[in-house]
Amino acid sequence: MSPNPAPSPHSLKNRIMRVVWGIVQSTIFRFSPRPLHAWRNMLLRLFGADLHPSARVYPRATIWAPWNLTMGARATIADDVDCYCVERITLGERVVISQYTYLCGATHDFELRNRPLIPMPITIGAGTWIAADVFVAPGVTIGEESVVGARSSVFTDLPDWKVCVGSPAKPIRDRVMKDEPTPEEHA
Amino acid sequence: MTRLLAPYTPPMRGMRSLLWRMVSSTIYRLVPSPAYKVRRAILVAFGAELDATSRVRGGVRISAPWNLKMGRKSSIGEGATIWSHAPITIGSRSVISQYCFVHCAMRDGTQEHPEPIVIGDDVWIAAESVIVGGARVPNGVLVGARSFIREAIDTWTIATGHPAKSRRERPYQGTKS
Repeated sequence: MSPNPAPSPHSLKNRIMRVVWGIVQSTIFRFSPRPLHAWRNMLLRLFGADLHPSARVYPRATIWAPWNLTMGARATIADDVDCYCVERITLGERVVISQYTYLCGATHDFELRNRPLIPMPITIGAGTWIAADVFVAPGVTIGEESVVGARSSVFTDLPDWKVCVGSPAKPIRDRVMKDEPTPEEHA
Repeated sequence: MTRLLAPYTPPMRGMRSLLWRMVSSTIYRLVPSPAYKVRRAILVAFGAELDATSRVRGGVRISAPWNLKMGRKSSIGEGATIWSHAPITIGSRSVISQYCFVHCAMRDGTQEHPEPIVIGDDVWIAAESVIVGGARVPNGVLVGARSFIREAIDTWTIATGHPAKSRRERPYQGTKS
Protein backbone atom coordinates (compact mmCIF):
# COMPACT_ATOMS: atom_id res chain seq x y z
CA MET A 1 0.00 0.00 0.00
CA SER A 2 1.58 3.26 -1.08
CA PRO A 3 0.63 6.58 0.44
CA ASN A 4 -0.02 9.50 -1.85
CA PRO A 5 3.12 11.39 -2.74
CA ALA A 6 3.67 14.65 -0.87
CA PRO A 7 2.04 17.57 -2.66
CA SER A 8 4.54 19.78 -4.49
CA PRO A 9 5.84 22.42 -2.08
CA HIS A 10 6.47 24.74 -5.02
CA SER A 11 4.00 27.44 -5.94
CA LEU A 12 2.53 27.58 -9.44
CA LYS A 13 4.59 30.72 -10.09
CA ASN A 14 7.75 28.88 -9.05
CA ARG A 15 7.00 26.00 -11.38
CA ILE A 16 6.19 28.24 -14.35
CA MET A 17 9.31 30.32 -13.76
CA ARG A 18 11.45 27.17 -13.62
CA VAL A 19 10.10 26.05 -16.99
CA VAL A 20 10.87 29.46 -18.50
CA TRP A 21 14.32 29.52 -16.87
CA GLY A 22 14.92 25.94 -18.04
CA ILE A 23 14.37 27.01 -21.63
CA VAL A 24 16.68 30.02 -21.25
CA GLN A 25 19.30 27.96 -19.45
CA SER A 26 19.38 25.14 -21.99
CA THR A 27 19.69 27.55 -24.91
CA ILE A 28 21.13 31.07 -24.76
CA PHE A 29 22.78 30.46 -21.37
CA ARG A 30 24.29 27.04 -22.12
CA PHE A 31 25.51 27.92 -25.60
CA SER A 32 26.86 31.38 -24.81
CA PRO A 33 30.60 31.83 -25.52
CA ARG A 34 32.64 31.20 -22.40
CA PRO A 35 34.09 34.72 -22.01
CA LEU A 36 30.61 36.30 -21.96
CA HIS A 37 30.25 36.26 -18.19
CA ALA A 38 28.42 39.58 -18.23
CA TRP A 39 25.76 38.12 -20.51
CA ARG A 40 25.10 35.12 -18.23
CA ASN A 41 25.26 37.39 -15.18
CA MET A 42 22.57 39.55 -16.80
CA LEU A 43 20.37 36.52 -17.61
CA LEU A 44 20.58 35.28 -14.02
CA ARG A 45 19.76 38.73 -12.65
CA LEU A 46 16.84 38.95 -15.06
CA PHE A 47 15.49 35.87 -13.26
CA GLY A 48 15.97 37.46 -9.86
CA ALA A 49 19.49 36.37 -8.88
CA ASP A 50 21.28 38.67 -6.44
CA LEU A 51 24.64 38.84 -8.20
CA HIS A 52 27.47 41.30 -7.96
CA PRO A 53 28.20 42.50 -11.53
CA SER A 54 31.62 40.80 -11.39
CA ALA A 55 30.23 37.36 -10.37
CA ARG A 56 30.94 34.64 -12.93
CA VAL A 57 28.88 31.58 -13.80
CA TYR A 58 30.25 29.29 -16.50
CA PRO A 59 27.91 28.12 -19.27
CA ARG A 60 27.53 24.44 -18.33
CA ALA A 61 26.63 25.12 -14.68
CA THR A 62 23.06 24.23 -13.71
CA ILE A 63 21.18 26.73 -11.55
CA TRP A 64 17.88 25.35 -10.28
CA ALA A 65 16.29 28.70 -9.42
CA PRO A 66 18.29 31.89 -10.04
CA TRP A 67 16.06 33.87 -7.65
CA ASN A 68 17.54 31.86 -4.77
CA LEU A 69 21.18 32.52 -5.67
CA THR A 70 23.35 35.22 -4.09
CA MET A 71 26.92 35.78 -5.25
CA GLY A 72 29.41 38.41 -4.08
CA ALA A 73 32.12 40.22 -6.04
CA ARG A 74 34.22 37.91 -8.26
CA ALA A 75 32.52 34.79 -6.93
CA THR A 76 32.69 32.01 -9.53
CA ILE A 77 30.68 28.90 -10.35
CA ALA A 78 32.56 26.60 -12.74
CA ASP A 79 31.28 24.31 -15.50
CA ASP A 80 29.20 21.26 -14.57
CA VAL A 81 28.38 22.52 -11.09
CA ASP A 82 24.84 21.65 -10.03
CA CYS A 83 23.47 24.44 -7.87
CA TYR A 84 20.22 22.98 -6.49
CA CYS A 85 19.03 26.17 -4.79
CA VAL A 86 15.56 25.29 -3.54
CA GLU A 87 16.45 27.52 -0.57
CA ARG A 88 18.89 30.41 -0.75
CA ILE A 89 22.48 29.59 -1.65
CA THR A 90 24.83 32.40 -0.68
CA LEU A 91 28.39 32.64 -1.99
CA GLY A 92 30.51 35.40 -0.47
CA GLU A 93 32.96 37.47 -2.46
CA ARG A 94 35.81 35.65 -4.22
CA VAL A 95 34.26 32.21 -3.52
CA VAL A 96 35.20 29.64 -6.18
CA ILE A 97 33.04 26.56 -6.74
CA SER A 98 35.05 24.19 -8.95
CA GLN A 99 33.87 21.74 -11.60
CA TYR A 100 31.30 18.99 -10.88
CA THR A 101 30.53 20.23 -7.38
CA TYR A 102 26.98 19.57 -6.21
CA LEU A 103 25.47 22.22 -3.94
CA CYS A 104 22.49 20.18 -2.73
CA GLY A 105 19.93 22.56 -1.24
CA ALA A 106 17.19 20.15 -0.18
CA THR A 107 16.58 16.80 1.45
CA HIS A 108 13.44 14.79 2.26
CA ASP A 109 11.88 13.96 5.61
CA PHE A 110 12.46 10.21 5.58
CA GLU A 111 10.49 9.79 8.81
CA LEU A 112 7.28 10.54 6.98
CA ARG A 113 5.95 8.00 4.51
CA ASN A 114 5.47 10.48 1.70
CA ARG A 115 8.93 12.01 2.22
CA PRO A 116 8.09 15.73 1.87
CA LEU A 117 10.85 17.99 0.57
CA ILE A 118 12.86 19.98 3.15
CA PRO A 119 14.74 22.86 1.51
CA MET A 120 17.68 24.23 3.53
CA PRO A 121 20.01 27.14 2.79
CA ILE A 122 23.73 26.79 2.03
CA THR A 123 26.14 29.61 2.90
CA ILE A 124 29.80 29.78 1.85
CA GLY A 125 31.95 32.53 3.33
CA ALA A 126 34.13 35.01 1.43
CA GLY A 127 37.34 33.75 -0.14
CA THR A 128 36.59 30.04 0.28
CA TRP A 129 37.55 27.61 -2.48
CA ILE A 130 35.42 24.50 -2.97
CA ALA A 131 37.57 22.21 -5.16
CA ALA A 132 36.33 19.84 -7.85
CA ASP A 133 33.45 17.40 -7.37
CA VAL A 134 32.63 18.26 -3.77
CA PHE A 135 29.21 17.41 -2.33
CA VAL A 136 27.74 20.08 -0.05
CA ALA A 137 24.78 18.85 1.99
CA PRO A 138 21.63 20.89 2.71
CA GLY A 139 21.84 23.40 5.57
CA VAL A 140 25.64 23.57 5.64
CA THR A 141 27.55 26.78 6.39
CA ILE A 142 31.21 26.93 5.34
CA GLY A 143 33.38 29.66 6.86
CA GLU A 144 35.50 32.34 5.24
CA GLU A 145 38.85 31.84 3.51
CA SER A 146 38.78 28.04 3.85
CA VAL A 147 39.58 25.35 1.28
CA VAL A 148 37.57 22.14 0.77
CA GLY A 149 39.62 19.47 -1.06
CA ALA A 150 38.50 17.71 -4.23
CA ARG A 151 35.91 14.93 -3.91
CA SER A 152 35.14 15.82 -0.29
CA SER A 153 31.62 15.48 1.09
CA VAL A 154 30.56 18.29 3.43
CA PHE A 155 27.82 17.27 5.88
CA THR A 156 28.65 19.59 8.80
CA ASP A 157 29.56 23.26 9.13
CA LEU A 158 33.22 24.09 8.51
CA PRO A 159 35.23 26.88 10.20
CA ASP A 160 37.13 29.89 8.81
CA TRP A 161 40.73 29.68 7.52
CA LYS A 162 41.04 25.87 7.42
CA VAL A 163 41.95 23.29 4.81
CA CYS A 164 39.25 20.60 4.99
CA VAL A 165 39.21 17.23 3.22
CA GLY A 166 37.54 13.83 3.27
CA SER A 167 34.16 12.24 3.57
CA PRO A 168 32.82 13.60 5.85
CA ALA A 169 35.03 16.67 5.32
CA LYS A 170 37.04 17.70 8.37
CA PRO A 171 39.56 20.50 8.95
CA ILE A 172 43.10 19.07 8.75
CA ARG A 173 45.19 22.23 9.05
CA ASP A 174 45.17 26.02 8.98
CA ARG A 175 45.27 27.81 5.69
CA VAL A 176 48.24 30.12 5.85
CA MET A 177 48.76 32.66 3.10
CA LYS A 178 52.44 32.73 2.29
CA ASP A 179 52.21 36.24 0.87
CA GLU A 180 50.04 37.84 3.58
CA PRO A 181 50.07 38.41 7.34
CA THR A 182 48.13 35.76 9.33
CA PRO A 183 44.58 36.59 10.51
CA GLU A 184 45.94 37.10 14.06
CA GLU A 185 48.50 39.57 12.79
CA HIS A 186 45.72 41.29 10.85
CA ALA A 187 43.64 41.75 14.00
CA MET B 1 23.65 15.90 -15.75
CA THR B 2 26.45 16.88 -17.98
CA ARG B 3 29.10 14.68 -16.46
CA LEU B 4 31.54 12.83 -18.61
CA LEU B 5 30.90 9.23 -19.56
CA ALA B 6 33.07 6.61 -17.93
CA PRO B 7 36.28 6.62 -19.96
CA TYR B 8 35.90 3.13 -21.36
CA THR B 9 33.40 1.21 -23.43
CA PRO B 10 31.29 -1.56 -21.93
CA PRO B 11 32.51 -4.97 -23.12
CA MET B 12 29.13 -5.94 -24.50
CA ARG B 13 28.80 -7.17 -28.03
CA GLY B 14 25.99 -8.07 -30.40
CA MET B 15 23.42 -6.24 -32.46
CA ARG B 16 21.19 -5.31 -29.54
CA SER B 17 24.06 -3.71 -27.69
CA LEU B 18 25.16 -1.82 -30.77
CA LEU B 19 21.62 -0.64 -31.48
CA TRP B 20 21.16 0.49 -27.88
CA ARG B 21 24.37 2.48 -28.00
CA MET B 22 23.08 4.27 -31.07
CA VAL B 23 19.62 4.90 -29.64
CA SER B 24 20.84 5.87 -26.17
CA SER B 25 23.27 8.43 -27.51
CA THR B 26 20.70 10.04 -29.82
CA ILE B 27 16.91 9.67 -29.45
CA TYR B 28 16.89 8.47 -25.85
CA ARG B 29 19.18 11.25 -24.73
CA LEU B 30 17.01 13.93 -26.30
CA VAL B 31 13.76 12.88 -24.60
CA PRO B 32 12.78 15.79 -22.31
CA SER B 33 13.08 15.04 -18.61
CA PRO B 34 9.32 15.09 -17.81
CA ALA B 35 8.50 12.62 -20.63
CA TYR B 36 8.75 9.53 -18.42
CA LYS B 37 6.41 7.48 -20.60
CA VAL B 38 8.49 7.95 -23.74
CA ARG B 39 11.68 6.98 -21.96
CA ARG B 40 10.00 4.02 -20.31
CA ALA B 41 8.68 2.83 -23.69
CA ILE B 42 12.16 2.99 -25.23
CA LEU B 43 13.70 1.10 -22.30
CA VAL B 44 10.94 -1.54 -22.38
CA ALA B 45 11.49 -1.96 -26.12
CA PHE B 46 15.09 -2.83 -25.28
CA GLY B 47 14.00 -5.46 -22.79
CA ALA B 48 13.79 -3.58 -19.47
CA GLU B 49 11.15 -4.83 -17.05
CA LEU B 50 9.70 -1.59 -15.76
CA ASP B 51 6.49 -1.20 -13.82
CA ALA B 52 4.13 1.31 -15.45
CA THR B 53 4.45 3.53 -12.36
CA SER B 54 8.26 3.54 -12.26
CA ARG B 55 10.16 6.65 -13.33
CA VAL B 56 13.55 7.16 -14.91
CA ARG B 57 14.48 10.83 -15.12
CA GLY B 58 16.38 12.53 -17.92
CA GLY B 59 20.14 12.31 -18.15
CA VAL B 60 20.27 8.77 -16.74
CA ARG B 61 22.78 6.58 -18.56
CA ILE B 62 21.97 2.89 -18.73
CA SER B 63 24.43 0.51 -20.36
CA ALA B 64 22.06 -2.44 -20.87
CA PRO B 65 18.30 -1.88 -20.34
CA TRP B 66 17.63 -5.62 -20.78
CA ASN B 67 19.27 -6.15 -17.39
CA LEU B 68 17.18 -3.56 -15.55
CA LYS B 69 14.07 -4.36 -13.51
CA MET B 70 12.08 -1.76 -11.55
CA GLY B 71 9.05 -2.23 -9.28
CA ARG B 72 6.04 -0.05 -8.48
CA LYS B 73 6.64 3.67 -7.97
CA SER B 74 10.42 3.34 -7.87
CA SER B 75 12.54 5.98 -9.55
CA ILE B 76 16.04 6.87 -10.72
CA GLY B 77 17.18 10.50 -10.36
CA GLU B 78 18.73 12.65 -13.03
CA GLY B 79 22.31 12.10 -14.03
CA ALA B 80 22.55 8.64 -12.46
CA THR B 81 24.70 6.01 -14.16
CA ILE B 82 23.34 2.46 -14.31
CA TRP B 83 26.10 0.20 -15.59
CA SER B 84 23.99 -2.94 -15.86
CA HIS B 85 26.37 -5.53 -17.28
CA ALA B 86 24.63 -7.94 -14.89
CA PRO B 87 20.97 -7.84 -13.73
CA ILE B 88 19.98 -4.88 -11.56
CA THR B 89 16.72 -5.32 -9.66
CA ILE B 90 15.03 -2.41 -7.92
CA GLY B 91 12.01 -3.10 -5.70
CA SER B 92 8.90 -1.01 -5.09
CA ARG B 93 8.83 2.59 -3.82
CA SER B 94 12.62 2.75 -3.93
CA VAL B 95 14.54 5.83 -5.03
CA ILE B 96 18.02 6.10 -6.52
CA SER B 97 18.85 9.81 -6.30
CA GLN B 98 20.73 12.20 -8.56
CA TYR B 99 24.20 11.29 -9.84
CA CYS B 100 24.30 7.85 -8.17
CA PHE B 101 26.68 5.37 -9.78
CA VAL B 102 25.31 1.83 -9.87
CA HIS B 103 27.99 -0.33 -11.40
CA CYS B 104 27.78 -4.12 -11.71
CA ALA B 105 31.39 -4.58 -12.74
CA MET B 106 33.35 -2.40 -10.38
CA ARG B 107 34.09 -4.65 -7.43
CA ASP B 108 37.36 -5.99 -8.80
CA GLY B 109 38.09 -3.06 -11.08
CA THR B 110 37.77 -5.21 -14.20
CA GLN B 111 34.70 -5.69 -16.30
CA GLU B 112 35.07 -9.43 -16.68
CA HIS B 113 33.09 -10.49 -13.62
CA PRO B 114 29.98 -8.36 -13.42
CA GLU B 115 27.76 -9.29 -10.47
CA PRO B 116 24.04 -8.58 -10.05
CA ILE B 117 22.80 -5.81 -7.76
CA VAL B 118 19.55 -6.18 -5.81
CA ILE B 119 17.81 -3.20 -4.22
CA GLY B 120 14.76 -3.97 -2.07
CA ASP B 121 11.50 -2.11 -1.35
CA ASP B 122 11.24 1.34 0.32
CA VAL B 123 14.95 2.02 -0.14
CA TRP B 124 16.27 5.55 -0.58
CA ILE B 125 19.81 5.82 -1.88
CA ALA B 126 20.67 9.51 -1.56
CA ALA B 127 22.60 11.61 -4.06
CA GLU B 128 25.99 10.70 -5.52
CA SER B 129 26.29 7.31 -3.82
CA VAL B 130 28.18 4.44 -5.45
CA ILE B 131 26.87 0.85 -5.48
CA VAL B 132 29.13 -1.90 -6.79
CA GLY B 133 28.43 -5.38 -8.18
CA GLY B 134 27.21 -8.01 -5.75
CA ALA B 135 25.73 -5.44 -3.35
CA ARG B 136 22.38 -6.23 -1.73
CA VAL B 137 20.43 -3.34 -0.30
CA PRO B 138 17.60 -4.84 1.81
CA ASN B 139 14.11 -3.41 2.36
CA GLY B 140 13.68 -0.04 4.05
CA VAL B 141 17.32 1.02 4.02
CA LEU B 142 18.23 4.70 3.75
CA VAL B 143 21.72 5.27 2.40
CA GLY B 144 23.17 8.75 3.01
CA ALA B 145 24.51 10.95 0.25
CA ARG B 146 27.97 10.13 -1.15
CA SER B 147 28.10 6.67 0.45
CA PHE B 148 29.86 3.63 -1.01
CA ILE B 149 27.80 0.45 -0.86
CA ARG B 150 29.47 -2.91 -1.08
CA GLU B 151 29.04 -4.78 2.20
CA ALA B 152 25.82 -6.08 3.75
CA ILE B 153 23.46 -3.56 5.35
CA ASP B 154 20.69 -4.46 7.85
CA THR B 155 17.04 -3.99 6.88
CA TRP B 156 15.30 -0.75 7.94
CA THR B 157 18.46 1.04 8.99
CA ILE B 158 20.17 4.28 8.05
CA ALA B 159 23.57 3.55 6.52
CA THR B 160 26.24 6.12 5.71
CA GLY B 161 29.92 6.31 4.96
CA HIS B 162 32.62 4.76 2.88
CA PRO B 163 31.95 1.83 2.97
CA ALA B 164 28.32 2.35 4.07
CA LYS B 165 27.50 0.76 7.42
CA SER B 166 24.22 0.63 9.33
CA ARG B 167 24.36 3.47 11.88
CA ARG B 168 20.91 3.34 13.43
CA GLU B 169 17.37 2.08 12.91
CA ARG B 170 15.27 3.90 10.38
CA PRO B 171 11.96 5.00 11.91
CA TYR B 172 8.93 4.06 9.89
CA GLN B 173 5.24 4.63 9.89
CA GLY B 174 2.76 1.88 9.25
CA THR B 175 3.90 -1.57 8.24
CA LYS B 176 7.35 -2.61 7.18
CA SER B 177 7.55 -4.09 3.73
